[in-house]
Amino acid sequence: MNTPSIRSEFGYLAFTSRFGSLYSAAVAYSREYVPLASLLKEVYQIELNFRQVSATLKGPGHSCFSCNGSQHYTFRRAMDLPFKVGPIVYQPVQQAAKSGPKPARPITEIAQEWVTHFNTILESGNSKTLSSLFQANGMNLQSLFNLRDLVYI
Amino acid sequence: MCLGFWKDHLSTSWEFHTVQGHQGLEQMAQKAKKAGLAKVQLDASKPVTNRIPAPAIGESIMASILFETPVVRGKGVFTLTSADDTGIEWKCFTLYTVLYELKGHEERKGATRPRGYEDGDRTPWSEKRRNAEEMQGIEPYVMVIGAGHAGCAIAARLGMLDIPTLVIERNPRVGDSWRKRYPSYISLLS
Repeated sequence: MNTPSIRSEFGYLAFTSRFGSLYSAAVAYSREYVPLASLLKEVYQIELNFRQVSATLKGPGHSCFSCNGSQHYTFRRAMDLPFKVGPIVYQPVQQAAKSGPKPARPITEIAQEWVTHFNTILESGNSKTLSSLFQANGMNLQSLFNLRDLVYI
Repeated sequence: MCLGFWKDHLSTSWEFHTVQGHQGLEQMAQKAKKAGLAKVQLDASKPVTNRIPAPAIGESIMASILFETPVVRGKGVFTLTSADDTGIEWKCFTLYTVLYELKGHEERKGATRPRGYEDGDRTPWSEKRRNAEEMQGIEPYVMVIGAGHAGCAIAARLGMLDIPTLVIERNPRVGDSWRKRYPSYISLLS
């Protein structure tokens, strides 16, 4: 069975409060043509196959908002379970925290300093130097952390 | 190699952008300059926080900002991560900027919220209401199709922006599309 396009099928996740923010992220990312399925897999260790899910989760308590149970099924209960349910694999990322340095100065001072430099570069119009304010360390997709941080304030 | 992100929603142009790397950031800086983005300052109403957003990231500093262009007011959030082993130098990993309001078209809220009457105006409220419903002398700028949750919400927001808006609904009453959705559904809309 082909895995359906995450872009077309992801809207059903909007019905779960847990993944409400992910839905917004999905909308934002799909507009920019980032393959969300792989993003979810890499960042959240979630693998989804919606058509298989709807075939598996028949039964009371799983009827869908849109079609009243005839075609689709809500994922709320399945998503909340931290173990494998049928074809859904939902596993929180089990990873030791990176042991990085703690701020050596007051964090407000560090943030203010960054804003001041940002303003200076914008005012000078020297756009080539802007990247000097941004992180240069190699980080892979795994470290894209909470998608909501990129989407929400 | 520069791997910081800048995501912008409508504050530097009328588009959504996410850029990464030297070239992308350079282009975004040029857009920001062209848009007149300036007066970036920390948002005093929100604390600067120190947290670990994900295990792979480690310690980070998150702060909110406010800024302006000649056309818009915007807000944003950025995350700094350590750039060395000492914790002295911190660089931006993600920067998010978004349009908050258009200057001259601010949402009417708080002290500027419509009071429902004007001093010296003796026109009865019922007459004003009828005129509004019939859109007497008003040419709508926006037509909203469907008076469900989303339609009502966007119409209310447009109303607060003083943008003449016409909502059309195929059912007799506002909210009927939800009211009639399930037999057990109870709507709080009148």
